[in-house]
Amino acid sequence: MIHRVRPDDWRLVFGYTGRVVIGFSALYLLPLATSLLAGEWSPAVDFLLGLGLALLVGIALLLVGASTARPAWIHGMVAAAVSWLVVMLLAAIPYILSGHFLSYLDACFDAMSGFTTTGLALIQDLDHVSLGLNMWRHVLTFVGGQGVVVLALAFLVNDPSGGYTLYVGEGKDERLFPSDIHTAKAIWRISMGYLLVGTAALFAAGIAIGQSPAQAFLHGLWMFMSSWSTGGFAPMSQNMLYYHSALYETLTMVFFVLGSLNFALHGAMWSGDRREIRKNLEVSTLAASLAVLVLVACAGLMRAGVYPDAMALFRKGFYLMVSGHTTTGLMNIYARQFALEWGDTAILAMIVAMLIGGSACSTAGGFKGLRVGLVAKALVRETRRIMAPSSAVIEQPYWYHGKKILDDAVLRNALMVIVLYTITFAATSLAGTAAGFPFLDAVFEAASVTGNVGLSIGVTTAAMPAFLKLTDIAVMWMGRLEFMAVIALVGFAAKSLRRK
Amino acid sequence: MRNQTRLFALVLRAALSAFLLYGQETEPEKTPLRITCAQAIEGASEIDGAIVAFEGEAIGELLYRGDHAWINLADAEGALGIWVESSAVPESLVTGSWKTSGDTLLAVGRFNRACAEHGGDLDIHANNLSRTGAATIRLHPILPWRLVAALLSLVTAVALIPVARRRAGSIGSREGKIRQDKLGIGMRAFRAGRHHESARDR
Amino acid sequence: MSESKARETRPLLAIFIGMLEELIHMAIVPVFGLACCLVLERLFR
Repeated sequence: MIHRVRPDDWRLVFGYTGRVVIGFSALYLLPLATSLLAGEWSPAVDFLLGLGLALLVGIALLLVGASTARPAWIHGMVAAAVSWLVVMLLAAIPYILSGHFLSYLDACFDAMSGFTTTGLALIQDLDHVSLGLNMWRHVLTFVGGQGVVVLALAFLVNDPSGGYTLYVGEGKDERLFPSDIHTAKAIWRISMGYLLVGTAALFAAGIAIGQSPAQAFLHGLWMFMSSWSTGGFAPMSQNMLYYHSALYETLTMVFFVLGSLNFALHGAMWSGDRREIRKNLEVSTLAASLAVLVLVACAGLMRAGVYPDAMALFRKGFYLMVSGHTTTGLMNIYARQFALEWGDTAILAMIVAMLIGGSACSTAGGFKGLRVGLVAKALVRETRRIMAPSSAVIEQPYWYHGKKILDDAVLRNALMVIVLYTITFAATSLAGTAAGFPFLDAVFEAASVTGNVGLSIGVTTAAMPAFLKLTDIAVMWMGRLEFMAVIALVGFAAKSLRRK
Repeated sequence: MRNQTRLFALVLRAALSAFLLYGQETEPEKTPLRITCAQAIEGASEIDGAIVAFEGEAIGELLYRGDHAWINLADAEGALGIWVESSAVPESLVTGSWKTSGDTLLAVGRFNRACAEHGGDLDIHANNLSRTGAATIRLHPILPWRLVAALLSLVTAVALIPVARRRAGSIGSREGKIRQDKLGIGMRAFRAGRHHESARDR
Repeated sequence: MSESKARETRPLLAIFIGMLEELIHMAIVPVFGLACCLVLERLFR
């Protein structure tokens, strides 16, 4: 731990941030190419400008970053937090230039929402955006899911110590392979593999439901990116409802469930380890949680007669519950329908599902199934302790990529992060009610923002007050980084302001 | 006397109900309820099953499904899905995108809050679809200052690349190798106290 | 390092099979969902 924060420490942070930004700037080439191919000249210029500015900012930060400070993990953590903010500001540039946003704040909101794979949107007139801009929206969410930092790691191979701590600061701690660079590359390979398969599948589905080949391809690509990254953006304003297709919905469901799983689990499956998916604590916790919450919600919906038959219940109730639990946020109903039709039981089940979230080290958000599983195991252990003689030593085993024994340090951290998420969720709910929204609406939206979900009950619109937009941006950012990096930044800043 | 009044009230109520239920159906074209997208969503339960008229711009694509098609129409408040027979679709329909504002269509048909035929979708089964406005081209002129700014920033960035390369090589790596061992130990201790723990190294 | 190199150069077919196995496992989700909904429809009819 460092005792003093000198300007040199900040320079080191900016240096790392600069590298991430330079890596990020390469992304502009994708929408640029799309717009050029589609003959969209004005958007092409916007992306060119975005690219130029991003490169300039990245290089400037890099030049500022000459430092004699000793790199420590804190620098990596703080850099992770700072780079997300800088990238948000830069990603918002093509948005605001497109004319589809009412303010730069709205553009930043969508940029952060995309990057954190939340999926709430303030964009106006989505049905008339350029293909380039839609490419930008979906690329941001796909890359955000993989982590800005993983991107930088994979393409700016250098500086092993600082590089590793950037990765940890992102909240991804799983070691797929011994080296962190290999882990980053492995994550990219898994994602690219599924990108090919997923796009092909959705392309075929698009043709089957009546789309033209070009549209089927683009929508397939974008909807895969949105599903796999558990993002929740869609190219049309009606989101999933545009397609009116059970096939399309089922495919996206498969992909977003896959995307909500731990990357190490994918790694295990791909290397032939079938045991892991059955014994893994996180998978069993999430499966149990999903089963219970789906039953509660769907029973509530059926009893209230919201949907006419099993098929409708499956396509709406079940689909939306899975979308919420995996923190995807794809919707095939209108936002206001949650408030008007679903009823309190189903809404509450959805709120809990959104908060629990998906897996650790995946594109999903929320508390994470692993933490909830650990707490459940702790409850079992405490029960056993009460029932056993006082001299007995109680060990609580669980399976997570190998046999583990529940230890207090691990449990303490799981509980701490759950507490942090809960406090954030409560504060965001309060902000929503302070802005004048009804209680359950504010709570629903707060759960969606905190868990990086993206389902909306109608609170998130461009007409929202600015303070609520800022709150949501901050919460999306903190939730995605799982607080650690943000706490590091705050501590870092506080120490640098303190007089020596 | 009282019984007569009651009977009269009952007959009146029955007559009114009959009129409301059946009287309207004899002249369907004159009674469709004109709705906007927001009204459709907010009042979905009230207008469920009623004959409505919705006007909006055709967006996206016509999605043919056998002898029927989906067309999504958008007004200022949002878009609704219209299910219509393929034969009822106007000739050479132009849909909206970045390049064009599509044809404006008026759809008249049955509104469904949660359509049983379409997996609970909120939709309109239109028996009449007519064009009420033609498509127009959307113009997106390139603003010169943007092009100039873009080229300037790119040229500057490219010019600075060699400087950046030199600086990139010197961040941390001086200390990197020496610190890596200590960092490794520190990292293990740190990870022991981390929030999600794989405890792989134990 | 050699272990990770071996994993990285794993033949494409094996990766494809792994992906397919995952997809088959994932099919449980919509199947479970449909079953749930059918049961609930019966219960509340």
